[in-house]
Amino acid sequence: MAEQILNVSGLKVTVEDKEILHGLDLTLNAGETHVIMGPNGAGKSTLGSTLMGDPRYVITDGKVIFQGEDITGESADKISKKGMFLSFQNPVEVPGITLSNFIRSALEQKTGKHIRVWDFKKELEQTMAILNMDPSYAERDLNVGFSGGEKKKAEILQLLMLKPSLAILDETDSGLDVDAVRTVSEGIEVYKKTVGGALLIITHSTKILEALSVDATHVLVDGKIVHNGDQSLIDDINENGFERFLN
Amino acid sequence: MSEQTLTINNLPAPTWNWLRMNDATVRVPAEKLTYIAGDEVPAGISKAVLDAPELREVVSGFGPQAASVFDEVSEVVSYTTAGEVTDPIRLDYDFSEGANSVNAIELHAPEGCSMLVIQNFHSEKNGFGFAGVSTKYDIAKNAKITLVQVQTLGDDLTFCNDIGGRCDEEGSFQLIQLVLAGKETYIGSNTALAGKRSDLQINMAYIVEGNHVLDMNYVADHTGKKTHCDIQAAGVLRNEAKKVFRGTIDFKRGCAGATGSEIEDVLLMDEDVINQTIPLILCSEEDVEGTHGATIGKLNEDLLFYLESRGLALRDIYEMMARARVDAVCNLIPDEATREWVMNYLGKEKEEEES
Amino acid sequence: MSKEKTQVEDIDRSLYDFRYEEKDVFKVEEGLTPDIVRQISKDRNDPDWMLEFRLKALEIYNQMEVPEWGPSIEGLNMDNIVTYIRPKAERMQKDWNDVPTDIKDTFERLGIPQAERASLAGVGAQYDSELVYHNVKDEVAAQGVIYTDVESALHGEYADMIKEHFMKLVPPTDHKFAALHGAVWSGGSFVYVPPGVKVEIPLQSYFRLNAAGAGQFEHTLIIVDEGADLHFIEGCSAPKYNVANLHAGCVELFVGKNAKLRYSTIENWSKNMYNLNTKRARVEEGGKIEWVSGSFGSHVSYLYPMSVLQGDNSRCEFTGVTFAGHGQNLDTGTKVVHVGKNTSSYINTRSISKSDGISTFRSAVVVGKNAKGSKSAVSCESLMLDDISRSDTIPAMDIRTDDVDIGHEAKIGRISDDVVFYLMSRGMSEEDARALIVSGFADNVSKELPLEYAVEMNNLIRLEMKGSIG
Repeated sequence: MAEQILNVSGLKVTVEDKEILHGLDLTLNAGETHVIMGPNGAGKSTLGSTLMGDPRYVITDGKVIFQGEDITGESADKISKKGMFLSFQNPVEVPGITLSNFIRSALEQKTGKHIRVWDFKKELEQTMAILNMDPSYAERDLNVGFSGGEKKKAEILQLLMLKPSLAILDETDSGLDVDAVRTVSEGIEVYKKTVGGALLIITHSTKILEALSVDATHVLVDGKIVHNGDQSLIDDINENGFERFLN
Repeated sequence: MSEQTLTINNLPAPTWNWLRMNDATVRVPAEKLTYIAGDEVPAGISKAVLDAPELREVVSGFGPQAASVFDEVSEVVSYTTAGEVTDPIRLDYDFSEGANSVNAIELHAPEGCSMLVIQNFHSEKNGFGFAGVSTKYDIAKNAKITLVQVQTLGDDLTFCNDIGGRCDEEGSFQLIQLVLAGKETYIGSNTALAGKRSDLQINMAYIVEGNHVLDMNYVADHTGKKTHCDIQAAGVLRNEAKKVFRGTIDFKRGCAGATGSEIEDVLLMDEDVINQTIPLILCSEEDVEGTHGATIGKLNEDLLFYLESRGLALRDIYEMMARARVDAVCNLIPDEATREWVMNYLGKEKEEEES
Repeated sequence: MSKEKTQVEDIDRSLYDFRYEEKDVFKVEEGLTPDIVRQISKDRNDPDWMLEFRLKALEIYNQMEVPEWGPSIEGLNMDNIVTYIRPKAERMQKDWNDVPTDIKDTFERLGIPQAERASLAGVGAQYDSELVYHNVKDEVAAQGVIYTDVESALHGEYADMIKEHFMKLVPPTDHKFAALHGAVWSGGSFVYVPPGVKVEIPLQSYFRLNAAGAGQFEHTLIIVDEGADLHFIEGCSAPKYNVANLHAGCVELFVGKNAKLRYSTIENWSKNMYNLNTKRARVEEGGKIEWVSGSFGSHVSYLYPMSVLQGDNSRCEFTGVTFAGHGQNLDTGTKVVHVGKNTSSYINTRSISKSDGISTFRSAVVVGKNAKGSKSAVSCESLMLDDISRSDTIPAMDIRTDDVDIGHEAKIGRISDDVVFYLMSRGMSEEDARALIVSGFADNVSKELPLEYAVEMNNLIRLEMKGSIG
């Protein structure tokens, strides 16, 4: 029996006094890949932000257990240090801090150790090469003036550098272009291979999921998981949509 | 001459007196010496010492009483470029002696020529006294001046930094300023965008700490057609620091096609700080586009969550973002030695704090 | 085109610019002396404390300077202003049929009795210095809502409440014209909404200044008690004269704990009016003030409704539009003082300048030391319709604590030729296209107004826009 990495039970979440998640249950084991699908407005993005500890999402009931520890209501930086990672749909621009410096600070925070610049640069260069990323981006300010595709790459780069034990990819935006889809898919592959962590992919579109081995698929409708299945559920939804899960 | 109390940094259009933002009051001591900055002049730049300023009539940011601050200056040093000179004129102002001093320089960029001027205002940490520096410039057609000012002054020093100039057709003035230390700092800057398509770019960053005061007045005076300005100020206030930012985009009748923007971003780090911000747009021309914005206070929630989600603690994020404001402007300085000088200064500050 | 222009001016006049002879009136001499103040006080049947208050205010007035930061008011000579003029007929009526014919006609042409029947909970109508009509619907009165003139209230059951609140929020020392108001005020309304009472439909006061060279100084005092809710609408107009008229009213609003007050104004004074009005609200814990303000009339305006967010979690919203046309210098905006914790303010304004008109947006957001957790967002947009007008934006922020979130944004620009062309390509005349765009620009306010007032406002915009081409 694999070790349980994430256990969400009875999660209720409100945003600006409006309840979005109405008692959500979800379990992931270490190293597994799960997919959460659901129609627009089901609460998919809310789930990702809540797990990561966004203070604007208020947990009114339920629990989040991550690697055996109760992280309900914990702040984002502490959750991050424990090994969770959330990729953002629209990562914010941070003028004055280069991508390279940022990742190094984050790594130093995580490990609590000083990281030698030389070793770090080498690893960063190698990882950027894997992602086909122009090395000059390392010295550009974090996300400032990046195109949509470049921002996506910068997110995946952070994922690969920070090596979390659970990566949550919030890809609810169905308008991803072909390049971005490829970036994400390749990034996932490298992450699986080199880090071997668990993956929770929240998505609307199924393109990202092609060529990916999925352990479980969950359907999120109106703030609750209404159906659980295996990989075949993805194809089913692809063909038939969410109609049969709506009431 | 006796000590005077002068009113400077006048807001071009005043508002309610009870806000006390219409102008600044500065005490200017009696009997000031003329300070001559140590300079390093590259090839292509000629230097002259004038008995009287040539650009006396050019309006500066301090306003009508500016002349009274500098009336004891006995020599004005003038620099003129004769080509596209990329090596900087370095002007070193060491105010460690504590004397009351005033200085005036003029910068001339004839048609098609350009120059880079770096003024480094510094003193020991316990520096005291009064220092005034007047910088006037004249930018001809297709000419450009980049002025870099770095200020690291003592905890008991009052500093009056007054800038004023004009740009002819397609002329361009770029001002990069870093205010990192000094007890009382007054900065005035007025740019007459008189020529068609002339351009003003200001990037300034500040850190004001302790009980220090920073009082600013930036004016972009658009009279020429299709002129453009972009004024960006970003800074950090700590302890009981006080800061006043006045920024004015003045679209005068006839400046058709002009555009302007100004933005101030202030990070407040302690509960006893005082922040005053007043960004004006004055407009008597139809065909213009102007915007101004200000964000004051804490860091934006989206940014905080993003950085926290990557494992950074709140306090570290604030320190990092405070530093980022300075770094972003520092990185614009087109001179590596100056950038390093700033980084060294900031590094040293940090070590002192930690020890 | 020039023909169109005259026609339009005619329409404009016929709507607001009609007048009646002054007859059967009681009025004081021009100018301002202690004797005149005593006469007014006597005619108002003031209690003793009020006479003293007036004389003290006059002293303050004489000591204070005219503000030097705003539009010029040189054209206003107080020696020529009649500060008090009232119809001699019976005082305040509750039935329009008892109101003197001229005055009744005036308000009928302005549509006030009709609006009262259709959509208002109560109406007060002031003509020069006197409130000539006041009525409140029975069901609203039955809820315990008091809506009367201030003079009656000074002698009735609420006398102590008036004394406790009158010019406490706006003391005569506030500025020169507040002092003037304190000395010569007359008329205006007193509203009291008891705890928990929600007044479903709006109350309205309409102020009409008919006499040439006169001043109007009405005082509006509204107290919305704990948990209560009220919408108050104020309208103002006057016929045009060649001499200066003065309006120096004062509005004091007290919004109780968890109470809510919306105060809407469509101001359309004639273009010889000096509108030096003072409005202020104090909001207690959890309460909310909403200002909706349309400024179209006056020669010169100084108008900055102020919100004092006294209680924790109190809020204010200010939505305003100012349209400065030919010969107008309208200096408008708002002031907010954050005193309590977690207070919030939201300010959204538009200003339009045309035909040499000057419009200034002026604001102050002050966040005090104890106002931790406070938020403020200011957004102001200006539209220049030609190159002989002027539009200034002067927003001040004074922040004295770190735990705040203050945002400010402003924009200035012109009507995009592309949009005009687009509308014209769909068959609209250029004039109509521009009028439509300007109405759309001002929709922050029109959206907040009851339908009939929104329609009136859009009519005002259309009138101002007519003849703007060529």
